[in-house]
Amino acid sequence: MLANLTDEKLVELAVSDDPEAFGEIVRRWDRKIFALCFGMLGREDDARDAVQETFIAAYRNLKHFRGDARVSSWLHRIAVNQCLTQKRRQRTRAEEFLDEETNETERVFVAPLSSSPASASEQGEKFSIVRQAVNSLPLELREVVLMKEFEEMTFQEISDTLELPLSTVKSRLYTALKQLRMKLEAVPLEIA
Amino acid sequence: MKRSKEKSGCVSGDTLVAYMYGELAQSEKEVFEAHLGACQACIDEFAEVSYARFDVYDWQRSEFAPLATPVIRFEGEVERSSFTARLRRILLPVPVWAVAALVFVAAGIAAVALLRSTETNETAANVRAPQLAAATSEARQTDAEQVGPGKIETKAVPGSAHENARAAAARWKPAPKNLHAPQMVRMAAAPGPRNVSRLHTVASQKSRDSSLAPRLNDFSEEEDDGLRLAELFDDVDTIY
Repeated sequence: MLANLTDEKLVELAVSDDPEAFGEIVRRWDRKIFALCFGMLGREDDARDAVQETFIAAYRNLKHFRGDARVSSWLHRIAVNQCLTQKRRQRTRAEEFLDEETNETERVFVAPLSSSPASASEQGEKFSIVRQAVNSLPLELREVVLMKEFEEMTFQEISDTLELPLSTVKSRLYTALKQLRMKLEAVPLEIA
Repeated sequence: MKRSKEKSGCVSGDTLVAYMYGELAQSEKEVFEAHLGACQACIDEFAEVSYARFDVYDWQRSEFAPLATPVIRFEGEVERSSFTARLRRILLPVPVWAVAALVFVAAGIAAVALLRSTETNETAANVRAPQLAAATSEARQTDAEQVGPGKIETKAVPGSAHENARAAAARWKPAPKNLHAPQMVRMAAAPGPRNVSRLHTVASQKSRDSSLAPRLNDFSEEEDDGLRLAELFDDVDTIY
C-alpha cells in the first residue's frame, strides 16, 4: 500500500515512473502546499495556481531530488520559488488584470485537488479539532488569533484595541500559530 | 527535524507573520523574500506557521462565515438614569413611606415656622397700635377735659397730652427694613442726602402751616400714599 510508505520512498517510486506514487505525494501535500502558497500570496486563486505550478515543477524535477533533504522541505522550496515568481509576474503585470478579479471569487474556497466525496464529514471532524485547539490556547494568544482571523483586524487595530505594543501583538500571533501547529500535528487531520 | 528560526538567526516571528498577512512594508517585504529564497530553515518555518494559520482560516471560512448575522432586538423599556432613578438608588435602604413622612414633617415644620413669624410681626404691630391708641385716647380724654364735653378741638393744644403724643410719634424711630411689618404702616428709611433737600422743602412748606403734624415718612407727598400715623391723629381728632 502506497499510503504506508514514507515520502522519500514514494519519490523513489515516482522516479521509477510509478505514476500512482507521485499521486500519493500530491494527495498528501496539496493542502499544506496550498496553505503555504496562500500564506505567501494571500489570495486563494493565486494560491491555487501556485499549487498547480508547484507540483508540475516537482514532477519535472523528481530526478533532481536528493535524499539528504526531506520531501516536505523540497516541496516547500519549490512552492516558495513559484510564489515569488508569481509575485514578480504580478508586479510587472498591468493593473487591468488585477481589476478583473472580484471579491466574490477571492472569498470562495475551493476544495483541494484531491478532495473525496467523504471529505465533508471528515472536514467537520477536522474543524472540531481546530476549534478545540484554538480554545485550548491561553487567552492572550487566543484573542489575537480570533481578532486576526475572524474579525480580520490589522495588527495596528489589534494593538490599539488591546493596548499592546505592535511587536507584542505580532509575537503573540506567531506564538499562537506555533502552538496550534504543535497541537494539530499531533492529530492526523489529513485524509488517508 | 524542525529547525527553529531562533537558532538559525533568521527573520523574526514578527516579520514572518507580518509578511504572511500582507502587512509588511514594501522594502521589508523584498528583504524577506530575498532571504526566504535562500534560507531553507525560514522556508520550513514559514510553511509550519502557514499550516496552522490556514487551518484556522479554513475553519473560519467554512463554519463561521456562512452563519447569518444575528439580529439583536431590545425588548422592554430602556432603563434611563433619570433623576428619580438616581434618587431612588441613593435612598434605597430607606422605605418610600419613611421618605414621604420625612418630607411631610419637614413641610409642616416650615409652615408652622412661617406662620409663627407672621404672627410675631402682627403681634408686634398690634402691641404698638394699642400703645399708641392708649396714648391717643389719653390725649383725647385730657383734651376733652380741657376743652369740654361735646366740643371738638382740632388744634393741638401746647403742653397737652395730645401734643405730647404727637411729639412721641415724631420721635418714634422707624423699624429696620427686615421686619415683617404690616403693609398698613410704611416704615421710613433713614433720609439720605437725596431726600434731605426735599425734606427741607417739605419742612419749610409745612412750617408755614402749623396745623400740619410732623410725619413719620420722609417721602414727598406725591410719592407717598401710605397711611401716616400723624394723619391718624387728625382723623381721631375729627371723629371724636
